[in-house]
Amino acid sequence: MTHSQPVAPLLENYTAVAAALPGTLNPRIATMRAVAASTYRVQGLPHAKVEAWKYTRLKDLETVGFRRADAGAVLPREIAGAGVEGPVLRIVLVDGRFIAPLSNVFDIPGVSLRSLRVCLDAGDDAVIQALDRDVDFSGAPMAALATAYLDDGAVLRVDAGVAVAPVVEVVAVSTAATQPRIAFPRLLVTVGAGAALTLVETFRGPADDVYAVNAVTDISLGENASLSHYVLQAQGAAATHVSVGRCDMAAGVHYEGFALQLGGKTARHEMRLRMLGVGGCARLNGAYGVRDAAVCDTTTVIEHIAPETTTDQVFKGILDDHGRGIFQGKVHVFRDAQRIVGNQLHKGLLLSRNAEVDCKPELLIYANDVKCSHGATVGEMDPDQLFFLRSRGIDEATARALLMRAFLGEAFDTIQHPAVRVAFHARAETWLSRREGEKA
Amino acid sequence: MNNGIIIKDLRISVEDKEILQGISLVVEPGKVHAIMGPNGSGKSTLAHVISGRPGYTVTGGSVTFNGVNVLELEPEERAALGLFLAFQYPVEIPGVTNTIFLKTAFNAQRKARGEKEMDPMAFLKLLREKAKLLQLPDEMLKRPLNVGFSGGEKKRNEMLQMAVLAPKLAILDETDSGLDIDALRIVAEGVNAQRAPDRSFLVITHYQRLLDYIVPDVVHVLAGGRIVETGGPDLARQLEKTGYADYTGNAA
Repeated sequence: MTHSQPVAPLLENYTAVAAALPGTLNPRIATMRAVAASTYRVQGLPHAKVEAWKYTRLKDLETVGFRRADAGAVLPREIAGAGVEGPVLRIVLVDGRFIAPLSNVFDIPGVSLRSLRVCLDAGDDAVIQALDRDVDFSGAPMAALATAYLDDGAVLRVDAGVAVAPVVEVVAVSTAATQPRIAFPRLLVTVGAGAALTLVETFRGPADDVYAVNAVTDISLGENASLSHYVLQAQGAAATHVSVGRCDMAAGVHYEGFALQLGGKTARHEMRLRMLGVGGCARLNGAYGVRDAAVCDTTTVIEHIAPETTTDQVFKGILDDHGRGIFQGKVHVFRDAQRIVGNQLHKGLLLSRNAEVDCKPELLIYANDVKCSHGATVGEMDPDQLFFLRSRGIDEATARALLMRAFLGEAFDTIQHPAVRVAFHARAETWLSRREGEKA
Repeated sequence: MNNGIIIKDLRISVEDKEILQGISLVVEPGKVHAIMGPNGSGKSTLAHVISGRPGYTVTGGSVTFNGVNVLELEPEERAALGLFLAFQYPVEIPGVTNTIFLKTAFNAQRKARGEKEMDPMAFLKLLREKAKLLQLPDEMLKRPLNVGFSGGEKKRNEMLQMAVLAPKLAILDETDSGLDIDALRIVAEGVNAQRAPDRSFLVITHYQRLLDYIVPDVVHVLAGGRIVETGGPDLARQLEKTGYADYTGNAA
């Protein structure tokens, strides 16, 4: 039977496509792709038996027959990002392609922005090294698939000691097409020792088209570097979205992350942090809203490899209609990672009896002097709070809206960057008001 | 019609258990009535039923307020008519500041009554004035509703809401519980400052202490779901000496 095994979806024309990818003649790049492709071929699309994908099936990827996207044409309004006010430097990826004319010029000393394709064509050692680090594809077929198609994207580098004042915003936009297409936006970010960066990633696309995105962001933080990393997933209602952010953290690093997911038919955002150096500290928060029959998966994987590292996670979701939310939080404390702190909390607010939350904390602790906690609450709106507001004259619909905002608002309060906090809050507000508009 | 609240033979059940077994009571505008009684006598049930909390079944009787049958109204509609409940256990709502909450409530009531919303600056001014009278610092107005407030602060915050919303009938559900003597005095002064010819109060309490500060016109004793005695302020003082033993015995 091995001869007639079906080709894994999305890999049908792989040999021909791969031959035309940049840097094919570079053995390291070619090997990286080949290993990734064969890993994906063996694993296939994620399914329930893969623990890391227990609750989320990418059904459309199995059936629709997506083609790899070429860069389409975009309108200026389509490359709008998260709406962050103030100084912003924008990087635009259209269908996974870095588009220099739409991106800002980064003329800040110590900061460089390049096209990944150019780097691959030139055989840039540092870039190849960064892409080829010990990435583990086990249970990560989608990341393998993205690397199999490694092609274009943005490479951002901040030199040691440089504090980048403007917000750097990456807008990954998918364009409308007659056939369903999949894009592979790729971002490589290196923040040198003692440097500081605020990074906002926005994913968006046509409101109602069927399309797919499989994005990978690799981040490396040098000693005592500081990164604020915000992700807005605002895909269209028929989109399949998969993104993974992988962040390696040296000693003394400060990482603050917030992921807001509001779009997609099936969406999954995953953050993987490797705490490699003593004293690294990460706060990883997020919020999501899911309605209709959409599925929204937030997965985090934290590896406390070095001692005295700290992670705090709070995620909140609002679920309406037949929406389904998934939160998987894995914390892996290595044997020598003593005196670490790892806290994790997920709170779900169900607005409908048909909504569902699947929550899976996973703690693997091999050190003996650690403080770890996890918690999950899922519930309907508190009837006591509702009655209290109504007894003061606030009608039921307004009271519910107020409580929903309060529930999410707490999450946004954790965002350290004021302009990003305002922008993300506004996005959530738009999402909430759509509900009221429909049901009023 | 402005004739206060008229409760006639009110019967209330919760899960087939009759909690109020025929309460009749009239509180005229400008009057302060106190309802005293032992634990479990139905005092809080009465407060909640008048305010419209879900979960109670009306099996008989009526409650009209200024001529309107309030039992058929939603809680927010009752509030717009001028009914106010000061909660025994005020609810904490993280993420909603005191100011936003009060502004929303204030304007919602005005809107429901067909009045214009108040200009935000004018509202803030009103809010600060009332807060000052209750010795609530401005900072507490910016904090999330009741979150991190002490017991006394929560009760003072209830009095602030009452002062801002200016109801026609305020029901104080054991507002004195958990208060020290200073907080009790502040709360009582807040109530006394609100006394007016067109505003009545229903003060529910277990102890006579609060009634030293808020002197009632009429005192009712509620026991076993019935009003078993009605009298003047002296009745409260007498109860302080004798306790509720006489009534619980009778009502059982």
